[in-house]
Amino acid sequence: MARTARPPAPPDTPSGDPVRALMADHRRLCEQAVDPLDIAAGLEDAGFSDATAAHYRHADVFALAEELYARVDRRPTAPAPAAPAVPWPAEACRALATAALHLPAAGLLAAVPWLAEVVGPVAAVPVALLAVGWLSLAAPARGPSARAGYGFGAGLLMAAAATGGPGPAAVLALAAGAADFASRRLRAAGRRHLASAKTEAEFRSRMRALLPCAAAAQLAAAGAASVLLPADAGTGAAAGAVPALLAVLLLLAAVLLRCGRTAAALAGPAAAGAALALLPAGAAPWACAAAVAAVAPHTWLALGSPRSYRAWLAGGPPED
Amino acid sequence: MRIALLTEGTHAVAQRAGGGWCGRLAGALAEHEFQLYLLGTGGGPEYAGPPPRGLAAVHELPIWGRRPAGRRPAAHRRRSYAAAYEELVRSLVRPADRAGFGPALYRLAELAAEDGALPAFLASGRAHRTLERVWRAPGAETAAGQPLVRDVLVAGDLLEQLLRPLSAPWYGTGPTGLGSADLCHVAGGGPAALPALVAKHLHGVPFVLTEHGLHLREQYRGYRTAPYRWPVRALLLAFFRQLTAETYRQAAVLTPGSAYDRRWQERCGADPARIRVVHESTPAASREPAGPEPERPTLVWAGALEPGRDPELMLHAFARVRTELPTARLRMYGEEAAPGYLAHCRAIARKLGIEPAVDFAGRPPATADAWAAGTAVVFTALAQRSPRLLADAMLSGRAVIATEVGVAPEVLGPAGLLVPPRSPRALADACLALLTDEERRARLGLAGRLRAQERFALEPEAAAFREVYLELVSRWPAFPAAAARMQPFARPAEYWVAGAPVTVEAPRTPAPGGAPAPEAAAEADPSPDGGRAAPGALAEAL
Repeated sequence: MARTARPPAPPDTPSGDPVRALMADHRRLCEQAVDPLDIAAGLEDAGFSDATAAHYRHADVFALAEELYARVDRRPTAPAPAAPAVPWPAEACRALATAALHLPAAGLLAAVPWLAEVVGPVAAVPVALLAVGWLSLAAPARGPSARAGYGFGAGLLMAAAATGGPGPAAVLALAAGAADFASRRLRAAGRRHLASAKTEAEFRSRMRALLPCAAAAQLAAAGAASVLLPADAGTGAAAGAVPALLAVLLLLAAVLLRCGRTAAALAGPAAAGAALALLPAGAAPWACAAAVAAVAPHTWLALGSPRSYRAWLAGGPPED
Repeated sequence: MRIALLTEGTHAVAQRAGGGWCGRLAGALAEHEFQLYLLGTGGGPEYAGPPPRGLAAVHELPIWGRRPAGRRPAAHRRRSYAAAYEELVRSLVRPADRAGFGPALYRLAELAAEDGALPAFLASGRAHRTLERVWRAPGAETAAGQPLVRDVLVAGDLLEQLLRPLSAPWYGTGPTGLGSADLCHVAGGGPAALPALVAKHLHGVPFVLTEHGLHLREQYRGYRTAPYRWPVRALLLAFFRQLTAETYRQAAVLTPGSAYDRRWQERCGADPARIRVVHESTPAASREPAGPEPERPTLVWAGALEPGRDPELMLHAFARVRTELPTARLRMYGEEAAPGYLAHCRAIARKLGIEPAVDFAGRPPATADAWAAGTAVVFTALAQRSPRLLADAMLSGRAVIATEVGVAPEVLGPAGLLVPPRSPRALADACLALLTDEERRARLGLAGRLRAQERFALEPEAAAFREVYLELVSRWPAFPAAAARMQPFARPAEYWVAGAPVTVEAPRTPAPGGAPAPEAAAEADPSPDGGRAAPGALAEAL
């Protein structure tokens, strides 16, 4: 092998410790290394060979790496800067847009019973389908099947509420906007806690109170709104509770959709809508309460599980 | 004999190269039946059409991307899964429990072979809680940071993907199962070796490990820039290190592509007696040499434009060459691999005043065109891990100058000039020595071409593997049932040559160095229960 020059000699240090300069040059590599082989791979990438290691009084790169690993302490990495939080006014605007998208659908669904009476079911069916399609545009989800499912479920709920007149339907449209806002904030809170929580138990304890608070606020707001936008005369006194409970159901569905539990998210509204259509009007509040009681624990567990945020950790596709 | 080729990804079996390395090997050893077991990327089947020439069948299992749909283990089996997983994690995070890695791996493989529920279990909350508990327990190696919830999630999902081969539907003894193969040949380590380890554990099938570019070293390099926190990196690299050590322990023969990789294998615990360097063949070995040299003295540099390839060294050295030899030119082939690096190199060329003489030519239509455009070829990389590009350049018949790192000394040997890395003066001297001495250039170029043709042609590689295969089956017990006795020569080579289900189609070319093993095996006394063929059958088959 033809050699044209010797490799550059390591800098002579007064202490007679050539490795000291090397440690300074490769400090980051050594601090972050998981084992000596990690350092050896890094040194070889930097142009080191066994011949170079001989200048540091070692038989090969591996022995040199072991010395570096032993002499440099591991240092914890600085925590990555948290992703900038989305300002809440922006999210409130999006929630208002969602509510605005739900309102025409609510109007269409409120018109369905009237159309069926005046023109006949032939006219009512396309209008109902149009409302469902419209709702699926406003769904808090990405996939086409999840969107269609949301449109169908929310359509059932709104149709059930619309039997009480346009007032409850409008309440539900506004509640859909509030549910969108709350589910976004809950997801953001989950991600924030996931970035810093040490154990799964700690994460759960931080998330524990969030959903009950959000659901109570939704219930209270929807209840107040249904007092302001009263149902048609002739429906029972308990009818005011139905839109409020349906609003909570919409919130749970939105949270589950954002946690990636599509099937569970769609089961609640679908079951409640079917029960409202089939059961007598007097049983409606009970059916709604039963649906909420069935879905709420599952949602609470899903929101408190770190596994619901897995796609985000893995750098999944952008979400709405 | 029936050989199961195991590999990961597409690089070894790229279709455009007629099946890649696997296809070349299977084509050259046509007397054996090869089946390819491929760990795919999950982006759809990588083989839409019929299997490439030489391969009897291709079986594919996606290991990256979405978790395959599947049920969780039954309630009464979850405890066994959790216990095995806990032992596996403990062997990764506690230095004192390293010996538990192999047993835990095989226990998981046994469980997965029974009900196939391993991926669903590994993605479940129970697996994550197990991982978290063991990882955060005192005694675990967390020198640079304790794991957080997010680390548990990320590491758990990565482990789930890496362990998917354990639940592959390949471990039967049917015609497509690894259990009926005579030996496994793993190309590239890591997850690709998992099926071979399981097949050896369940059915006693021996395996050969071929590594072109060390898998473990590539993991260390890749994880350095991965977006994972230190604890995740430490856990995953511990997994790869343990898996590599177990693979090296269990492999019957290791065939690294270079002596440089051999050092790493020995460092990771491979028995030196079982390592044989087999150079990776290249289809370019039969290529014609490059035509006449260009009129003006031209240096050709090739490689990705990134700091590790050190094109800056080339530019600085070329500036010195230009002062001595003003007519000299430099052609830099290669695409930008680090953002903004091409502009950086151009700025350096401008600063050195050599811009008119330097041509950033981008990616050449074929590598042969790049070499033909120069009088001499220069490689300035800080680390030369693969011999491919060097060998390709040597095959052109042009003289080669390379930095003395990685595989360069053994590939180039006396047939080229070696210079220390990061030394523009030494490189400039070497370039001037070649550019001004036509006779020396021609001598080195010819020597390099002959050396590369001898080392990187298909025949020596095929002969080496033919010998390895025969040696392996002669050394290994006859049938899984006989594994308990571990009797040498219970399954002699004649058994396969005379009675193998595959007829010998291609006339075998007597390979240099490949002949002694079968003859030695023929002289050996076949054991009473092993052979189906008469002792002399081998001679007739040949």
